[in-house]
Amino acid sequence: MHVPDGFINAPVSATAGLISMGSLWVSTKASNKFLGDKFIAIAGMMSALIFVLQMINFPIGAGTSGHLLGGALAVIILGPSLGIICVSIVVIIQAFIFADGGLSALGINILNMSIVTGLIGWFVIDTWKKIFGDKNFSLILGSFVAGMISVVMSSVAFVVEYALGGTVSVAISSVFIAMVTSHFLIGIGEGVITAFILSLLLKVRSDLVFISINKEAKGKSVPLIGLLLFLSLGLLMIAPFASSSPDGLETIAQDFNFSNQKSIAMFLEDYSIPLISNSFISIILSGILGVSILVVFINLYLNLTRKKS
Amino acid sequence: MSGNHPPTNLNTESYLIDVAPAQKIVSVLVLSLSLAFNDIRNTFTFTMILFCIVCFVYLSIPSIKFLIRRMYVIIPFILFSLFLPFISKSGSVIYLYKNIAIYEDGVFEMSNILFKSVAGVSMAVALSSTTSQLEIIKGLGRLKFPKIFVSILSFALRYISVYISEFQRIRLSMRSRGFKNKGLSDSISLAYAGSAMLIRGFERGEKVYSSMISRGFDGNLFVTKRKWNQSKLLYFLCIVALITNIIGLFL
Repeated sequence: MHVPDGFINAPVSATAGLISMGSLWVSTKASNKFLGDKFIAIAGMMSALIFVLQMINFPIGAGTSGHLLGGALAVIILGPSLGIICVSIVVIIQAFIFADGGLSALGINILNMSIVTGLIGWFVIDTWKKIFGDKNFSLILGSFVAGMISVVMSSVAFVVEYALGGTVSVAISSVFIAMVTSHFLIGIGEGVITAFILSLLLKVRSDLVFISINKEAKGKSVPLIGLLLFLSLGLLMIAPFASSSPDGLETIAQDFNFSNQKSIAMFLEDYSIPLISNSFISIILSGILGVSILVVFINLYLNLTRKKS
Repeated sequence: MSGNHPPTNLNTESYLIDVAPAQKIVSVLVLSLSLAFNDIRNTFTFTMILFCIVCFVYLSIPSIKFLIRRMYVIIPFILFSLFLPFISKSGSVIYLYKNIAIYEDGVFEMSNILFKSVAGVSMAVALSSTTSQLEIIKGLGRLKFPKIFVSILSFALRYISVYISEFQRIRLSMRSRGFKNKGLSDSISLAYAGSAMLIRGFERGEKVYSSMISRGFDGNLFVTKRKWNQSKLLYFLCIVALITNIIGLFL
């Protein structure tokens, strides 16, 4: 999973670097209230543990082996801001001291392995907690799901970076299939490990687990960003399977010759954005736009109904 | 349970051993970024920056053997890149033997990944062979990294050795009971090992932290001071790389 130098071209690496620097800055600001608390020492231990767990490869069949990413685990135990910092520190140590993962690809590695896994893991476990309650058993199941989904989404994020700026001309679809299937298996392993570590910790030292101490979620922004990321990367997983042939109503309309009656030219016609020639990217962008418009409307609706009641 | 301190296999005879760690980190970043921003098709600028990197690496490492031994992490990527000329099918054919054709783009992609990944890894090895791990963190602190970041980093580095020795002990006992890492079903045992490690580490870390507090720990980890030099050669290499980069933009 550690991307070396020269695999992704320079503009995409630089953009990923800027994004990860910005989000690390935000999470540093958010976690400054823990400074001087014992959380700092625990965060250090957590990143050391994740580092050691990342060194262990478990075989997933067919000659490949995967290792833990640990984003979901760190986020569950330390909370979103400190957890993201923790895994980024692991990536930085690996790049600077152990020469694993390129220095110019540091931004990409941080983005894939800590920010995407952290945000999505936190979003999944947070919603899970809201839906199924915060009993120990439901938290453990939720951590399994969070670990699995976060790893798969991290591999999808790598495919996006590859599609935007890969220096190799291997077809995107084959990279996509190889990455996602292998990371699905790695994700199962990651989910099992996350769930077991969490179950033992909840049994022995439940006062250290952020998700079980923190009874009420304070910030809404982190789950929201996680939701957006989750939906956009999830759309990416579905996008290759979307059929370009017309759906039922459209076929009937073509058969009866009333499909050409255009009334208004819409902005996002046929789920594609003008000015962007690459169809893959434009479908995804329009998907993200549509989802964010939906989120805004749902929020507006919820606010209105709340005021009335 | 203490764990060994990280081994200090520094190359003490190197010219760069006394140079300030912050400067070394900055120059490594500058060199690797300028390599990443350069296209391999601009042969002149690419070789200039490669020359700078080779200078830096040559000044730091004790021997070529040491460098090659540390390079095992990128072996899969090197193998992958060696296959590229046969896989990618764009550009003109430069070599044809019966059914096997080698394309121009494939060769460029291969050499791109090969040069950039090898150069990146060797620079990281060079940095860590003249600068100890604590000094790298110190340098990051000098570069105005956030305090919380630097302190978590230093705790993490200290605890990695604790955890590694703990893990070796656990693995030995697992193996003596007949554990073999075969497949996904064994990740449960690994998970138990990991969580046992985590809990032991937590308790140890709390003890260490409270003892640090009682000795007057206020967030500053580094007490010992050492005099560092500024290397003019490193400045020169960085400036050459930057200028070459700017020239490369206009070529």
